[in-house]
Amino acid sequence: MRFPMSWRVAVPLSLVTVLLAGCSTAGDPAAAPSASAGPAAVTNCGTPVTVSRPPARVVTMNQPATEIMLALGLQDRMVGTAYLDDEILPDYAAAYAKIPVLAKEYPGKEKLLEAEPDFVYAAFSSAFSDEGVGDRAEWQRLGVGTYISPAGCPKQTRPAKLAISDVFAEIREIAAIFGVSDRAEALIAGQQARIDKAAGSTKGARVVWWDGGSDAPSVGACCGAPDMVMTAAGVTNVFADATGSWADTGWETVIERDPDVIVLVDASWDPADKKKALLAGHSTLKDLPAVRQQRYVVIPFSSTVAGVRNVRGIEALAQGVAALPAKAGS
Amino acid sequence: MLEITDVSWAVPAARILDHITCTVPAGSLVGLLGPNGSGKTTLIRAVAGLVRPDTGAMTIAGDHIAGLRRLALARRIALLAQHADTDLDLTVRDVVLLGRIPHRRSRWSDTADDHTAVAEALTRVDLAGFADRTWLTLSGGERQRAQLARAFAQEPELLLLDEPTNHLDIGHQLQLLSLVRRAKVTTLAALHDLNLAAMFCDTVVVLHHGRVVATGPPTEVLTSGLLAGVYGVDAEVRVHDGRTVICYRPPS
Amino acid sequence: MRPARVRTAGTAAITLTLVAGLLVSVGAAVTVGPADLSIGTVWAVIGEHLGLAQADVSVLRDHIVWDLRLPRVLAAAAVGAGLAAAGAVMQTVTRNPLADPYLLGVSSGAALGAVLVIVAGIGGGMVAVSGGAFAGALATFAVVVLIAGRRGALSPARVVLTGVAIAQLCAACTSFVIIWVGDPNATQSITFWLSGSLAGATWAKLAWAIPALAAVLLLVLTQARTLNAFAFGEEAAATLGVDVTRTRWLLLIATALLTAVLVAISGAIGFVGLILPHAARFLAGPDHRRLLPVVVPAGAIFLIWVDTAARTVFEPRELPVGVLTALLGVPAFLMLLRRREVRG
Repeated sequence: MRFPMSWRVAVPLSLVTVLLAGCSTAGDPAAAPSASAGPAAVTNCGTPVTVSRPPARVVTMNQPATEIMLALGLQDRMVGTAYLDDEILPDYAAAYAKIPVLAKEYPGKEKLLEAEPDFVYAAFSSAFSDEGVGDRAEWQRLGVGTYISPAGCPKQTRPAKLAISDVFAEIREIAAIFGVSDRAEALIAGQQARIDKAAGSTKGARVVWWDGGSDAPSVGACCGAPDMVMTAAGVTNVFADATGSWADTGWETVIERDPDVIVLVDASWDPADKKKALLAGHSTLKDLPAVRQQRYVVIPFSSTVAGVRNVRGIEALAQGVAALPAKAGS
Repeated sequence: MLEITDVSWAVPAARILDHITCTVPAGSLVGLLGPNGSGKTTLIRAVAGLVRPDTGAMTIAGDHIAGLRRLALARRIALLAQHADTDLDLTVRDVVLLGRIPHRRSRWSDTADDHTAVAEALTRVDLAGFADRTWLTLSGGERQRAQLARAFAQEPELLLLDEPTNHLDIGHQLQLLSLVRRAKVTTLAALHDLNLAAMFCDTVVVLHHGRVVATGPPTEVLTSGLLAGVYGVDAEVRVHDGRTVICYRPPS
Repeated sequence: MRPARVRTAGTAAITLTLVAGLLVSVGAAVTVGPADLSIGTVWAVIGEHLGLAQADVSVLRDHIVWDLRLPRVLAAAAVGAGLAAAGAVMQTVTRNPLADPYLLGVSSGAALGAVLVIVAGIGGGMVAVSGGAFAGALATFAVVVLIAGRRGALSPARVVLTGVAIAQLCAACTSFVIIWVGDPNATQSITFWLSGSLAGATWAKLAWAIPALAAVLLLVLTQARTLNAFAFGEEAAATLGVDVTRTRWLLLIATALLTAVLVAISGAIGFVGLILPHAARFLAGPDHRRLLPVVVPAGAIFLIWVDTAARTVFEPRELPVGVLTALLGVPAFLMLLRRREVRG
């Protein structure tokens, strides 16, 4: 059974080794907010969010939110961060180090109030549950603006099928709220160029995205972040017919679909090496062509959470598939 | 025959059985009388092997009950409790067949002997056509008769009755005890109803605070004085049609 | 005497039908699955492994039939049969119609054991997790027995209450461990144990389960008549010559051991051990000599087909079988209940 995205990341993920590549795509952090800064209104997870002027005391509740803020060069507006899943991207490490960390996971309500925020930005709706700092309506009533990443909204208001354009839309909305829309456009243009460059070389490979689970494998299904990364990388998700973000399936189905490539999600709690060992040692799977020929691509879990890291996941997948030799007959 | 000699049993707070000695002669029906808490049920349970007395001896045809294995005991002594109930939808045959468990030769199948014993036992309690009726469809009186048939199916030397008529109307009370009487099995029966005891028992044993206070034929034992002393009731004891009849007066 | 024979013959016929149905179910269920294999192919593979014939089938298809499907179908049969029998015995021994094989905390202990193994990181793979689950189940049962049976006499109420209490304690410990360590893998595993799945069935696990099942079933069958004596309570059983304490200990320990083995293979699959004994009583009556031969194949058939549904109906998704047992079983049970009431 797949637990919801918000839950999944709402647990401390200890360090994941990430292939750190690419260059900074953030706008010049020193540039002042553009002259257009003023009131902004967006609808977020079905809730209207309005700010009369760009917030100046922001607390980010999850790492993806923190990194989008830093990618937009907004570290001078941040008074606190929380819930780091993975090491912060090196491009933003220096800026990140200057901002107080309120909590290892979610801060308590009191801790958040102490920071006197005027805006709270989270990646997952769990941040505004009892597990986090409580109902967002309460915070809005206190005059504190709130925003949840659209990919992390509750199911009813989440995009039915997540696409990289939803991530770009989030970056644009955040930039609009802070009056730095020009930086968002620069950031998005840079990411889109990297995606376009990577996606050209994947030859329409048929891919199974294996997230975890050894008896009943959990695979990337039609409508979540795994499919978003696969679609953007130009490969075919062999489980695009399964509903949801992830789906539990059986090995028999995987064998029947005979994928060209297996994506092994690398996470501290379920490393890719363990997955490789399981495939190689499995009485049946060891004879699957993709396993026999070791046609694997390893992708860090953190690259699959909606945010500025997705582009790295897309590049890793596209380049990994391109680097594999042609599939031999089975 | 059952002989109980100097049996005592105590729990930390109270002495429940206090040096009890009495006899149930072969073929007789002995009534065990006494008010609530006098030790009747405990004595019945002790004879059934369900509690072990601290001291004293109980023998059946000369064999010490304490020395008999449970299975051997079950072949010689059968107990009919106050009230037997179950959620299971057993047939009357299933219930009576339980009485054959101590006699089993096979762990699995019922022998022809078992079926004969069941049929006989049902006839003895006037339930001949009831073998396929299910427990849940029986009246209270029929249930106690089915249990009595189960006890008969054990082919016991000694039948123990623990206030078996408590939940029955007077017609079924009379019927049950006359079935027991008719069976001519050696019986020790704890009874509440003194008129029933007087009607059916050869002898009665009266317990009070765990002690035997009187034994003998009902006509001799059941006197106004005893009823006043043991039960604390004001009653007139008459003889009517050759039987002892007790007429109670309301407490003053 | 005639009606007795009719009823006995009736249940013998039910048992024979069910055993035949079980064989057919195993044979049919292995031909069903997400992979598109013909019945001929499937049986050719099985025939080859049994040394009956040569099959010209690709290695992968051979594996699908022999290593994925057949062990899984057999595991479903073993787990279904074992849980149904254990449930029937538990209900009788504790005289509690709501008793099931997990009453004594075995499944909660298994979940805790599994999570501890994952968190402590002992070994990899599911074999170690099964081992942890088995150890957890046994340890929990031992604690329940030590507490409930301190003076030798094992009163049903005491056992049930102790079991419930210890199960709650295990559940709390499991939650504590998960929250404390914050490892999503542990969460995934606990979900596995709580809902139950046969996806991890292998020949190696069957090599444990089948002998355990066979031994406990044999023991229980020899006690069938003794179990009947419990119908009117333990004192009534005692006056029928049953050593109540010894019998209760023997059966509780045997069924708990069997349940521990099954839970280690499949997680805690609900419903089967609770409801199938009642359903079987409708068919065969409460006499354990007729009930047990009916409940065992009925449990096996039931779980084979529910698991087949779990792995095929929502293709390509696969559901944990425990989610479906109640979903499919409850309507069937209610229908049986209704039909029985109509017949009176």
